[in-house]
Amino acid sequence: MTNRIKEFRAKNDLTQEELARLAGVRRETIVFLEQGKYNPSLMLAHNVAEALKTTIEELFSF
Amino acid sequence: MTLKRFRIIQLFVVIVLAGSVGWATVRQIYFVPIMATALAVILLFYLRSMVKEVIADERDHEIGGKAARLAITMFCWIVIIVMFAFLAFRGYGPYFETIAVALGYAVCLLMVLYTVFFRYYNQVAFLEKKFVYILVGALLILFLIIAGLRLLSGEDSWLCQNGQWIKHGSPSAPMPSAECQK
Repeated sequence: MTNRIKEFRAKNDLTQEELARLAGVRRETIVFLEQGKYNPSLMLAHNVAEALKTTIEELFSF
Repeated sequence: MTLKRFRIIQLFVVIVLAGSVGWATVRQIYFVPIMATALAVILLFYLRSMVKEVIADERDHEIGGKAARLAITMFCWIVIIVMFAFLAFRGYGPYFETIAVALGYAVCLLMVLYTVFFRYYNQVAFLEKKFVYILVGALLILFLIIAGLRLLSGEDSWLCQNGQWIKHGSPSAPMPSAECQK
């Protein structure tokens, strides 16, 4: 599974810390997500997509 | 309160707790460790509730679950091996079998607790909370009854007195084959 979190985060001018706060997780989790080392739950994927003003389909690809 | 400050205070509390428990144990004052631990837990719970940042998220819980499963498995294997070693050498000391039995019960209790909590989280949607409270209460009462009976029955073991092994109570272990040198 790959994702475009880093790209969308840059578009929205957000830091990892800010995105973590918006998604309700720790900053380390965002780091691992961006590196593709962690597969999020559907709820977290939804929260991240919402924080980045996009959809899960746009953000994640299989 | 920030997470960083909470972590520093948590570390400080743990150091103070470890120091006080060590100090009290050396002096055989056993109510101090219990009181100190209770106070530390209440203080940390209170401070934790004041932290606005996320302390643990789903990734931490996933890692925690994996680590806990591995720790339980390793603990059980190690304790079972040690238990059999103690049983094998029970003739060398009066307390070897008691220690082995205590270790065996510890593993059983851990497995029972793991099974209960696993089933709780597996079927949480189908269970009523009242049932879970009754189950936990029943297990606690059962544990207290067994512990109470064991304590009231006194210590059953072989004691070394004046160069002879003396039966104290009704020990399940045979008389130690080692020489009694007191």
